[in-house]
Amino acid sequence: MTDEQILEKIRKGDESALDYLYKQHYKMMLRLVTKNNGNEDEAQDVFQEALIVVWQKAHKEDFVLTAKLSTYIYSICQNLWRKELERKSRLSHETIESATSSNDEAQERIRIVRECISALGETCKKVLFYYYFDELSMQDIADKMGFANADTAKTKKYKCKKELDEYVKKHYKITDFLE
Amino acid sequence: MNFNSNHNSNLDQNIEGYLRGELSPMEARGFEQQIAENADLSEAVQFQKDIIDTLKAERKAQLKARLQNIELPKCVAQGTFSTPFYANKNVIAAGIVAITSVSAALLFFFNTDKKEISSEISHNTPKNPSEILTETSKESSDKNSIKNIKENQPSIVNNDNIFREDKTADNTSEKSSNKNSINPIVEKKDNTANISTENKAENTTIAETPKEETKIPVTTKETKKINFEYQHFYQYDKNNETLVFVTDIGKHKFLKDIDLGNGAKDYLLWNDLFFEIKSTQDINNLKDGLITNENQILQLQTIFKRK
Repeated sequence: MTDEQILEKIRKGDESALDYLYKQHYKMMLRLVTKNNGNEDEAQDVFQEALIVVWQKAHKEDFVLTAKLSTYIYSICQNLWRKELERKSRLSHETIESATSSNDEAQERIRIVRECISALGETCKKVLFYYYFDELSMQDIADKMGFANADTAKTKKYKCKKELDEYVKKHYKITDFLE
Repeated sequence: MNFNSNHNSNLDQNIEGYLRGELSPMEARGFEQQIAENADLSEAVQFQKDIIDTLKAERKAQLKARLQNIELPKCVAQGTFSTPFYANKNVIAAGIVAITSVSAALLFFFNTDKKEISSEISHNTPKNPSEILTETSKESSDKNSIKNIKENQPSIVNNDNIFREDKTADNTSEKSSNKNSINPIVEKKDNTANISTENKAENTTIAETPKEETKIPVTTKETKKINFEYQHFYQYDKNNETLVFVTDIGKHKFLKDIDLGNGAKDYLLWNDLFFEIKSTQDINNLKDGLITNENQILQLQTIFKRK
């Protein structure tokens, strides 16, 4: 597959493009990480993160690939791994502060939202994921989900989000996050 | 709190636009001002942020799980640092450096990307640059190398030093040979000549590395550093005249179609070193093209000065 074909697949939300890139370039990323104080698990993790960055970036309208895709992915991996090493280095030099009560509360809120998301129907989940994370256009969401058109996707997204909002509000109230 | 009763679709759209980064900088600043002044709005924004952030996190986890389940090509994981050949070699080295075998072996395994000096170097002149600076996979399997473990500890200054520009957090120790990186080309030559008489320790800076490490042979390893800059990768497409570096190498000079008697090639001058730049489909490692032939260096110096 050429770079352009891969990017086209990504833009259309075809996740198999990620699988292809993962298998195609894994060796190079493994080498990068294992030669710089990392292990295989860390290599996989950082490469997965890098591909997800590519996935998101490629959906941006202003995304322009100025080098080969492999070069681009390599540089993302390199940056991510550098950051990770710096983070690990900082952790080893600093005492880890104990979690504050506000952190606990935030985590609890996130836990509730996560539960609410999992309670949504599959279609709603996908539509919201594609819209908020993948940032697919309404037309692409419609194509991917088999909706009639972009307007249908927009309506569906609105309803799904409203459903999720209501569901979360209800659960937040139970736990006193909302008065 | 009031935002439940007061909120409307316009407000939701504004909040969502703000959280998705769709507002102009001025609109965003104005909205942040409103958030700061209105506790209910602040709560509404936090509520939407919780939901959108969690949606993103869940989707990301879903994609990662997908990748995690992909079956990767076998044997790739072992990469460059775990072949029977090296293992055997470590065992032999361990026999010689008996007490410190474990740490020495570890150093050997995990420093695969550092310089390698084959046994031929200690006997002869360097063969060619790529062989001097090759990675472990290209290491000589010459049995004589074992014999040279003690007496011919080479002290060739590693040109890799020059690749180290950006030192990151964990570099707490300095390697003594780094001081020699001012003119690595000359030093490399000199040290090659003196190879059998000098026996400088190059690995003195790793705290857990025993002194006996200097007796490990043939392959002289550098300390392991958290540093990516010593390797620079590029991608060069001669037809489209594009030369792209994965990392920023800073000041450099690039000249095309220079014939040193071996055909027209493209060369880069960087940090007083010359590199041949190859036009391929792949990403290339800059150091693989390092020019060490003295005549070629002199020719290139003249040509680059002139241009």
